[in-house]
Amino acid sequence: MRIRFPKGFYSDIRIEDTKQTDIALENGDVRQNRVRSSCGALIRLYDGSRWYYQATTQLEMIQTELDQLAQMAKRPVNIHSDSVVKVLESNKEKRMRYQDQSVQNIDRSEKLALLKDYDRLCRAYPEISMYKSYYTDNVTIKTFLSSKGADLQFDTQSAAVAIRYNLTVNGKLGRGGKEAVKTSFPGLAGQEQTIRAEIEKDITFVRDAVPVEPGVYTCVLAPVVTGVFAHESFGHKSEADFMIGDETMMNAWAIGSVVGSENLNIMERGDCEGNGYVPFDDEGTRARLNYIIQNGRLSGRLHSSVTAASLHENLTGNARAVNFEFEPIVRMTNTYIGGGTLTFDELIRPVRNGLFIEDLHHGSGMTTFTIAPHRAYRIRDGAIAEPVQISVISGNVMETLHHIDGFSRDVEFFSFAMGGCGKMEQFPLRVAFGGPYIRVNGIVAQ
Amino acid sequence: MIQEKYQVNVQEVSFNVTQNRVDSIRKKNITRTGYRIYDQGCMGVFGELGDSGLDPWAEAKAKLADQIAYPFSPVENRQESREVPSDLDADSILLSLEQILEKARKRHPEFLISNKVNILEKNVSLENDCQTRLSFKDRSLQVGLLLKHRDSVNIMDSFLDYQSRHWDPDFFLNELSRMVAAYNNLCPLPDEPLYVVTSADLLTGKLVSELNGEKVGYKNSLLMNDFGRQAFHEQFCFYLDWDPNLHYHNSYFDAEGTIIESGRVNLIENGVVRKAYTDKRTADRFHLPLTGSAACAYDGVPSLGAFNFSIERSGQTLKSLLNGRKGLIVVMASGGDYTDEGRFASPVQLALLTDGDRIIGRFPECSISGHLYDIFGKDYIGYSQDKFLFNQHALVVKMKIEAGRSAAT
Repeated sequence: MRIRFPKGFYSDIRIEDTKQTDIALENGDVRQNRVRSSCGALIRLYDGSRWYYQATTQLEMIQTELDQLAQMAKRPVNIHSDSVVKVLESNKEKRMRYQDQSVQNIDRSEKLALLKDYDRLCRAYPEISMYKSYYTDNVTIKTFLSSKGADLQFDTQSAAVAIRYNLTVNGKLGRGGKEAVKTSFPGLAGQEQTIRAEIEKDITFVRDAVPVEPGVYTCVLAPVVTGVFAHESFGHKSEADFMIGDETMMNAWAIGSVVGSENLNIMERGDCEGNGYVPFDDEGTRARLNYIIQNGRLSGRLHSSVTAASLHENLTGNARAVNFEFEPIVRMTNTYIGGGTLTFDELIRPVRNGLFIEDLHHGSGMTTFTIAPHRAYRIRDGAIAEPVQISVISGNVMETLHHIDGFSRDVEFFSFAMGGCGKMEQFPLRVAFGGPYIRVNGIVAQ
Repeated sequence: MIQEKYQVNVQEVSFNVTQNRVDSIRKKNITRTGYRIYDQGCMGVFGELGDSGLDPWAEAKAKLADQIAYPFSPVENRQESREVPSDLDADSILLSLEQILEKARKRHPEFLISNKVNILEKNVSLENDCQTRLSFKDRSLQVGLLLKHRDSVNIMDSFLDYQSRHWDPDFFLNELSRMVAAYNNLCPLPDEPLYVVTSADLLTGKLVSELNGEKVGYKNSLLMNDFGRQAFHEQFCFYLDWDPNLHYHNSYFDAEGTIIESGRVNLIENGVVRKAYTDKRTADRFHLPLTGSAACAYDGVPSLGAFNFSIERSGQTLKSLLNGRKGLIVVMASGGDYTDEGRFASPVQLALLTDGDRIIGRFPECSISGHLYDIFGKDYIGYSQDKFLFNQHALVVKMKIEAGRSAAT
């Protein structure tokens, strides 16, 4: 595609060509089975003072739309000396990682058959009164061109299955589910045992769980919960768009400040395989490994070109948009807490009166982070005890990171098949998160 | 074989605000069209974003091979077009917004204002071979601005969040001043009991979940044994309605073209659970009344959705509902939830003090908790007639309020 970028401005074009398959079953019956094919572009133009965006599905109109944006803008004196324009990268690369193993090459009948295999597992359990199963995959090819000379084309891919069920166990109601998110279709095979095990755990949980006694507990978080905790508790705090022009925030979040326990490491990277794989962000910046916290000290934050220029820091590859209808803002990719040296048993053993949070419904994060647990258990005298129903666990981010005193060795990564990260109007964005089992003191449970 | 076209066009102008300044303008005009074919109890749908250049009806016909069962008839012989009046104009709003943000900067220099002001126009239409032509157009202003105190290390400290079909700079500035004044007056949680004052959405989510027709049909609803009996307060009514004064961008017909002639379906009536909400499939399968609650993606087969819920207003102002007590307004309560058994708990990141006339001050972080049957039962006070904050009616209930406890030190 040849674009005549208007002279005197910075401008770029991001074209997203997406193919997505969605299959949904309800109690075994097919309710959706579709392939969605869409193509759209976001056109950006910057005059040194204000950004102008136009989202369009008419690719043949890109040049016209771009010229119209230039008409709306003020002509800058020298756009090339603008600090934002200066930091923008101008990478040129074609990186089609999934072309040879595209999920779109798999026949839809195979996808339906796989989903039906998992779906029918639910029939074996009379406690399941209602169940829904979903298959979804997505292949997106992005093309990015800029007036600074960026010329990129790359692909991302995901495939996922999710089983959701409602339970009635001895008259008690509950819900549960299991999902798998991979970057290839074959990766979704072989989930039967995991799904059965999850259903059986949920049945036992619904049957036996009692309301938690509200209070402050030492909590051991399973890796999926650790991952959401990392994302919600500190990941969002690291997004630099919340700091622009704000001296208080800059002082509070000065690089090098001690913000957590000395063994705490939180990393963010878009360059590794997974649901947060973004080899180039939506401003054309190359992905890289970013340490947000290293050995308990603040060591970085996440940037777009605007925030990096404003704070005089380096780009990190975190300018992302949920799709072509939106402009890039600072977002996470793959966010995780680093592993430690303990085993799960060693984490549990010293806890006299605590909680083990095994799974969750959702989390949120501002100054107070929250996690709504799914399955949780009391820890009594160093051992897992009875299951407990908890509405929410919460803590103050600034304090809680200092209260993490144990990490297991292995780091696991997760993604949500049916959702993602939300920030303001942009939801859901594909991200991954992870970590080891961790032990955190002083968490409020209700 | 019957053909049906379901189309949604969204036109939006979005102003992004950073540090009290409009730093970007985004425009979009996106059309999504679903081409549906009904044939022998199945539906084939082809979805088009913009113009695909393909023959959409041929594509939709080909989709019939997927054999998605949909043994329901399309709506017949209805021609109607409705447009909700609105006087919003993006260009004039931009000029006014820039002036107002500058005024706000001078009046409240201790606060940074950021995020979005959007003007959204949505056009929905449904046409078919059965002489049906339905269309609906609505246009709204969506103010979603974050307020951050310059001395705070929080991502945000308060916000200004409302929808309207009219741009009123004075309303904007008044709401902003009320929020700022309240924030600047930190008050301790008093010993006297407070009523909780909140938007309906925070607490009605569990009712929405448990009145889902599929959940009721499969006998998996918490409210399963409450149908026909008084489970909640006798003055509590929870219903579906299509009143554009209460809901924005929700057309008078659903994704299946169903129109509820009365414009209202009572789900809970004077505390008695009456109905679950349904689309055609759910109503047919479980022999439940059809409530016009079908939704769908532009390229999907219609299925059960959840929208248009309201609480019956009590005919009293917030002041009158408080009846001399003080109220704790829940402005920000992120992350809380109900358990499957109906217990609710949530931290409240921003709570304000009101006497029903004024917003007096700000409370420190706290938490609220209660049980679904109590919140809308013995602890239900009412739903205000007046729109007290953010252009919304206020739900008033009794709940347990506890001073906020963060991580132990």
